[in-house]
Amino acid sequence: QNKNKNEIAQLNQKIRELSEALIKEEGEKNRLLIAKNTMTDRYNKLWNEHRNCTNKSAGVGTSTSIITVINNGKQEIQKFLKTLEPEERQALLAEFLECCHPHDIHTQQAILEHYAKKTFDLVGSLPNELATKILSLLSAENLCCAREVSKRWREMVNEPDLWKAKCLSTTQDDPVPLAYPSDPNQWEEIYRGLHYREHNWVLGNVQSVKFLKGHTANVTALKLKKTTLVTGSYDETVRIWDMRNGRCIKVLQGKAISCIDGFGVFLQ
Amino acid sequence: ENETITLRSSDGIEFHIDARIANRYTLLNNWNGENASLPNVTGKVLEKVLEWCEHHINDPPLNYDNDDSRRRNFEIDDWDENFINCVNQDMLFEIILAANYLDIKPLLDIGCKTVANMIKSKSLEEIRSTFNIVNDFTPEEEEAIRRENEWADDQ
Repeated sequence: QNKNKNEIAQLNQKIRELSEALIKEEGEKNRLLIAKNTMTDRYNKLWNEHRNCTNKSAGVGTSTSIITVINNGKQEIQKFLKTLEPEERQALLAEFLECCHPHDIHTQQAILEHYAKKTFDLVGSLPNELATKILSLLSAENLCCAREVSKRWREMVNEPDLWKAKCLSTTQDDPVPLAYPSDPNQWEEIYRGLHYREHNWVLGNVQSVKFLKGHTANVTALKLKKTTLVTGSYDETVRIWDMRNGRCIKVLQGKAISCIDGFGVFLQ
Repeated sequence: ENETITLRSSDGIEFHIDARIANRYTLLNNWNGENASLPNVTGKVLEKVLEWCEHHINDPPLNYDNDDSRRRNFEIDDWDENFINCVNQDMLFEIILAANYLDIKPLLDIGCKTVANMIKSKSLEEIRSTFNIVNDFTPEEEEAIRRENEWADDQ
């Protein structure tokens, strides 16, 4: 009996060592599988011996020692399981379930239900400022997806402070600081513009540049309305341009122009 | 020999911690002595939080006002990752609340990053199943949101 206990203790140690070794070599799946099989084999062998022995020595409650083994190695076991890839974890779980007796099923169900209850709307349960802190770490694509999760999540994603945080972190290296909107609800719209800007920048999308040729001295004034541009210059002309094709529609002769303003329908 | 201070959790469990830990986090320091009770943190949670604090006792001093802290990324170091991976969702939630309440900014950051990583690059259904969330939108509402969201998808 005692000898068995010692062996279990030793085995427990071995499992720990193996777990650690396995964690280190996560990438080598083959090794992992072989080690897992060896580990399971040894464990089963000893467990059988232990059970036989327990059966023989009547009345002594040594069957608790397997629980002690699990409890002692709990952290190691959890660490090991949590660092597995999803497929590996599921394969291991399936293996365990395969070994269940029919009457274990209810216990398994209870455990799973207990676990299911422990997963809950973590983000939605946090105070708004913390939810905003978490969500501001996500990309716009992620946020738009998160908005579709539930009403609570939509509310969290629609929070102006979230978009404000994203706007400010996107523009932190800008030479000109971002102007704050009068209505905080406009932050998302502002971010949308920045999102396009960043996107174009990352993809190297060139914005078309038009050269308007005509003025012969400094251009001192510009006024744009829809697709019509009016420019004034020290060359004593005002020129009117069609921005859709970059052509000069009209040239007005005058004095040196220093400023231009437009009233009413003159640009229509 | 190092000085220790005493903290008492909401359920009355006492923790004797190295005074250097309390000194790092101003708020923890305020709870020393007669005000040792933390009304909002249970023993189970406080134990985890202090485990984290103890590991980081020799970290370089915190400087949260400089620009670097604003450049957040998704990286968490190995020890922290291990620490945070070994807790369940319940505890992660409690740690975030406690770190916020106790004003332990780096731990709050780790908690927030961990949750953000749980959402990052997941599909809608995956997010719902990760957090056990029921879709409470009508099909019309879903359609409306999808239209609202188009600006981020169609690139």
